[in-house]
Amino acid sequence: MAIVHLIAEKGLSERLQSCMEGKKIIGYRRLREQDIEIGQPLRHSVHSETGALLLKKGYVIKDEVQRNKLVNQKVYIYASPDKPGSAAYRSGLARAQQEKESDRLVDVFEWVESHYGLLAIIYQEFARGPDETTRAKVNLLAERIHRAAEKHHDGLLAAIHLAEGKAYSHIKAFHVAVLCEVLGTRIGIGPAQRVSLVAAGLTHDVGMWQLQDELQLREEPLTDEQWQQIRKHPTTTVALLKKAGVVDPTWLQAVQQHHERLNGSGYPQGLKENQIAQVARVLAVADTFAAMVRQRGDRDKRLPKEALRDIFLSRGEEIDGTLAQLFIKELGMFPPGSACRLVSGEIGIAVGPGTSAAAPDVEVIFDHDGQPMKRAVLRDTTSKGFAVREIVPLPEHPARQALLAKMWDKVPKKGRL
Amino acid sequence: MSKFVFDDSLRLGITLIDEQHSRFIGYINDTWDALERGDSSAEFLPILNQLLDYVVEHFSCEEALMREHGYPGYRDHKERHNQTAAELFDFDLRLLVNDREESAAFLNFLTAWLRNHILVVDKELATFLRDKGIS
Repeated sequence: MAIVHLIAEKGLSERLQSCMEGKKIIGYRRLREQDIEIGQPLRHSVHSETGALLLKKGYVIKDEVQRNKLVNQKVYIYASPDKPGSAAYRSGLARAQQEKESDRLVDVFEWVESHYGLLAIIYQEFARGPDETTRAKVNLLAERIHRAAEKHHDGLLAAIHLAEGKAYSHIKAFHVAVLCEVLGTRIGIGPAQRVSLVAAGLTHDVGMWQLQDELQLREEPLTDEQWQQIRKHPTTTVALLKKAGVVDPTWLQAVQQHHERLNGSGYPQGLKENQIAQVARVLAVADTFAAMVRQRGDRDKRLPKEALRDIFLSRGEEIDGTLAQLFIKELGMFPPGSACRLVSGEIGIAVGPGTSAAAPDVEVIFDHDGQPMKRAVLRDTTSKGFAVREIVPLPEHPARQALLAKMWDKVPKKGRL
Repeated sequence: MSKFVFDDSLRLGITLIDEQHSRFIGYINDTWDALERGDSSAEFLPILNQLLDYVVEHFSCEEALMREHGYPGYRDHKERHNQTAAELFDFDLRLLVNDREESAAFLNFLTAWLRNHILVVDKELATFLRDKGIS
């Protein structure tokens, strides 16, 4: 039904807001099932959340399906107000409160934690057998990451970098998705295609995530069967995605080709150069980096600088040369969330690029004697005496989480801006 | 005083490449100056951090020009870039913080490398590009 598409997701209009708070236009309220008699003309015009007219008074709703669809949308009518104190009035207030509540601001760690939860559900569904609702969940998560990353990508990258005790497959996919958004923006991929790319980032390995997590513990070489499974996983994943009703060609192509390499050494098809789509190349760089900076059963994690070194050295051979350069430029040697020791001896966290990616802004939380500080202090690492000397493991700090949470702006929980 | 002068012998006549070389030399000179002022060798760490970032940009830019114009010496030239990039990435800048001799040696390496690279491999590339009418 056309209405569904007409409803712009823009947040509550001021008018509606005041109505919700019971101030002025109390007659504007959410449409309820009892407002509609099937087969009879509508008694009220129906408006979108933002106040746009969707259906004129007198329009006839033909059947229950149509009615339910309408009621389930957030649509509104001008009608006699619910009596204050009545059950309907109270539930309206409660709903308004709930809607405000659900869009509250949370710190980047909470944001990542709650969306990690959604990703874990998505992965479970892919394991059990995905359907249309699984796809819808991925779309929702991709859309939220896309929106939140516009202003908060440093915070998101840092929270992902500092996340502990997460499943390798899940947190790596989360990381890849945010990196895809960041790099995609940098090279001028449009917003709609970026959402598809982020969705691909979230799901690029769902065809083998259990194997991936099992391999975390392995000490022996891969068996032939495991090798086969790995070589086939882009294809297996695409099949699973199709099963979940994914038809988006950008999403499917990025996943299908994310292990293809420019020089033809990749898999499953051994495609070369221009046979590999741009979105797949972006996904490949993001995936390579996100995998290298995490520990895996068969190897230690590597410092960002070492990972970027490998990416740079394989430019033009395996990895798109332009993308490699822009990726390094965008992320820098000390990406957000890295714990850095400065020349001053202080230790802090890189919060984002300062004047350049080579010189991040660092919030120090340990003084030069290694004593935990009560408050974080921002250092400009281009200035004398505060240059970054090295990346270090972050020492224990009694107020670590509280201090970290304040380093980045809060994010609307639903990723709205 | 600048240790490394970007004089006409280093100018190759390809504007984009010349501009980048002059910036590159600027970074190296800043580092020399910081070392010679000698208050604290830690001072030039930010410059060195910047340098790595800049090397990536400069190499990528030269290589993009080579690809665009189908330069026959591309693979060889890129391989030389790779060797230097690997050395720079692997170089442990921490060593420089408290060791002035290491620092001077490192800068000597960079200076000699850049001079040689401009006069030999980049010169060949510039000749090729000029023949194609690029300046």
